[in-house]
Amino acid sequence: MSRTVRRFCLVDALNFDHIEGWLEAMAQKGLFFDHTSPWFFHFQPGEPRAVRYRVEPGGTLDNAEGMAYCQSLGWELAGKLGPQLFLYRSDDPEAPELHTDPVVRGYGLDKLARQMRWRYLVVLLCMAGMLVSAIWPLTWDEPVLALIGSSNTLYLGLLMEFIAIYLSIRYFSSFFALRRRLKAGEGPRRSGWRRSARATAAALACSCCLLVLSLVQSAAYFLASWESETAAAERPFPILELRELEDNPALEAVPSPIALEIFGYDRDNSVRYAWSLLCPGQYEVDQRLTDGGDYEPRLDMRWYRLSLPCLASPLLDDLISRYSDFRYAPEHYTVTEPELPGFDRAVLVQDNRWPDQELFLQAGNVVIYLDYSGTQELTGRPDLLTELAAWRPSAS
Amino acid sequence: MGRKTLETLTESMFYVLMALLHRPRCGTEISDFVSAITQNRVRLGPGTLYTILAKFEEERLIRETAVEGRKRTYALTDTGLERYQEEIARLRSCLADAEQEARRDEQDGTQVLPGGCPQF
Repeated sequence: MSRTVRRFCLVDALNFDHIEGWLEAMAQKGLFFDHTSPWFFHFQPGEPRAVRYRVEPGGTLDNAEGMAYCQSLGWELAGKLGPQLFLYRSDDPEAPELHTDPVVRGYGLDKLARQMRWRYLVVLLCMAGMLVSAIWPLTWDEPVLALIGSSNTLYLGLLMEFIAIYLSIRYFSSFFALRRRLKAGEGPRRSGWRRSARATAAALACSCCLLVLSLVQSAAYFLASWESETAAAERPFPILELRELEDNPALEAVPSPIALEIFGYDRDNSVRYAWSLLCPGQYEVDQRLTDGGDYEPRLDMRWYRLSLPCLASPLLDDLISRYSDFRYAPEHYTVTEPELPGFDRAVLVQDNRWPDQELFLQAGNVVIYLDYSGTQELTGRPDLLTELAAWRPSAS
Repeated sequence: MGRKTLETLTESMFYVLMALLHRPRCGTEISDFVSAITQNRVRLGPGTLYTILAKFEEERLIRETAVEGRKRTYALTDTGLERYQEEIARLRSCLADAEQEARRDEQDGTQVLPGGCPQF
């Protein structure tokens, strides 16, 4: 069996002009069409020369008389490009054109166009379904939290989806545009295949990059995330020390036996770290201390450093939506927006029934949520808050 | 803008109907007829010829009358004849308009240059 050379076709197969132009350019390089496989075009290598290729839908020339007439004029069937497309080839520069009337060639695409319209519709419906399912999480109450979720590659998938839709629409619309042009009497535009191939190559390259990013993000989530007791943590992390806030160094952590049994460490005094592309610094730090008597202050913190500062303010809104109940029972809460130096936004939610305070802070691309239960004022130590917002791993 | 199906016949289509006006013919005979009558001014590529035959058959302007081996012979239907005559009338009307315009040019003493601008 003779050796063939494989090439990936970047040209839309339904754009006959471009396919013909590409195949003719390949012949000029010494590669002559042999057959297609699901992913590739296969070529026979040979001496470079000018060869004409023409794509023809089934139902016109593919009968015994038509084939014989073609052969008598110097055209031969080179193969099929799919169930309904035939490829003809002529090595004879004097052979008359397969089509001498573009309008008639346009009419010849009518039957194929009817089938394509249905396929186009089905593909578009599938794409729309996939798009809706991908966008659906963004319609939840906290879209930014959904986006920055540690293992979430949703937005990368969404971008890939847009690229796939672009390629599908271009694939089908190029066929209908060709048919429209032909019926208007316009001649072929075979040289346009290069631009078409470049656009496809760019779109596929973007898709590959996004796929790699998705894999990197998923791998990074598993490799980079860690959790530990706060006292035993070997890596730096941001913390607003509850003892400092309480101004009582004697407060101590007393691990709950249940937490120890379930998690194997003091979960009430622990830190968890996660990484994602949009939010490379995500920390959850929980502290629960006791003075040995009845007083047990608690401080839970969520600390986010975002890659895109524009997401910071929406993230703060999402955190309020997720963690605060004041919108469900506003009569039980007092909401204020204190002016804190160094912060772009600060929202304080105080529970009127219990000594609970929630503070939502934004400083540049850092967003912090603090949930405090104790007798102190959360905003009473702005220096600690400023220090917390300014925390960076390298500075620790 | 694309045209409606066979709203206007192209030159190739018109000559295919003409080829079948007096007797049934097969594809190659139609092609030879068109080349001969137009003195090779209009040549039908095989793709064009067989697309026209398929389209005309679909639109019932022609019908297949015989199949002998590879050879398929087609004849004009009544609808095809009617369509051919309509096209003749349309072309005559075009010619009449052109002749009328030419006579007016002669009376006015204007001469139309190849670029389309009349010269006085």
